Amino acid sequence: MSDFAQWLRYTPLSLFIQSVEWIIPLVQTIHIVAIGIAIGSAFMISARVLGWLGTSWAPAEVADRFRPWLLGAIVILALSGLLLIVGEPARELLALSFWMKMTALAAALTISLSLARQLRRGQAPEEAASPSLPRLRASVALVLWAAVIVLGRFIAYDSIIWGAVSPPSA
Amino acid sequence: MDCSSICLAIEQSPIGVFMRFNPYAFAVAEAVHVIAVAMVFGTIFIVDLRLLGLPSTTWSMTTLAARLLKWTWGSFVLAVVTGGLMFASTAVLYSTNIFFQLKMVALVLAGMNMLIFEVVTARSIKNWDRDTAPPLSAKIAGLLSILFWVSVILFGRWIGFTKEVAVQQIDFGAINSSFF
Repeated sequence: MSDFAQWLRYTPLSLFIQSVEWIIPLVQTIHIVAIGIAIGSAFMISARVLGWLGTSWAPAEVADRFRPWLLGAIVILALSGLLLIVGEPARELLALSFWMKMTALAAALTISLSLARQLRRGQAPEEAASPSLPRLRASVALVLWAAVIVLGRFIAYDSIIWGAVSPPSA
Repeated sequence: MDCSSICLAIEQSPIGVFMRFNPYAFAVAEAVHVIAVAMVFGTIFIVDLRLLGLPSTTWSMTTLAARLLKWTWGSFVLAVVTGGLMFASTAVLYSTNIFFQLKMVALVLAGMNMLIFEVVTARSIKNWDRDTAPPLSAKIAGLLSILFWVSVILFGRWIGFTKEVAVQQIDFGAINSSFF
């Protein structure tokens, strides 16, 4: 990974991003706006399952309204995230926080999309025979989304947070 | 903006010293700040879109606002607390940072936009609560809100890049002392 990061650092796109000082903060801003949209959408899906939004909006309505925003935001997050990796390969790829973030993201997205699928089937969580499992999954999804954000910010502090466990030169 | 004596007192307070010298405090406050800001933006964006009549007007405006804005406000309080802790770490430098000042201006503008909406436009809300296109004034309020909040995020992110100098000025020798 270190060799790959080293190679990536000298590609034309990476050198370009490094040479223009406002690109990284601008792309990070886009990244944060998109994560706001992603977590807002994931929150609405979980909140419907948890009953925090009342019951007057049909489950399928909530899923249909917010699933496209979640997916759209993820596409923007992936693209802006890729630019951030290309711009600062070692900072991202050699950070323990980055790989933990990717793991948490995969889990968070999987659970949120699966909850949305359940809602789209018209399943009203409050009417389920055993409402505790969907509620647990909805809560876990929210915790995982929060973890994605925390770990994302910890990339900047990787060696301070993880000490010796953080890969060298991260 | 001159608050040098107040800001100096803030950064010399026990909280300011703790935020400056504890190696984890700032990173944790910042991480929670980003969660709070993401939730503020994520929830208010849904309300702002509805003011624009997007994605549809089938959901009652008042119901949507009632269900969502309490989360926006709760997250905003968390953002103010965590932001205040970060500010306390190097209050003098923050107060003189142009992007911090711009962020505060954008926050005030977002607040004024909300106030004007609540006092003026929201009075007619029963006429366009659902299944009706919102009036132009509501659409403008929604658009301005998105604009101001994106500005808050933009300027906020820029503080981190212009305070690099500030971080380097911290006496890193002191970090290894017995402050934590």
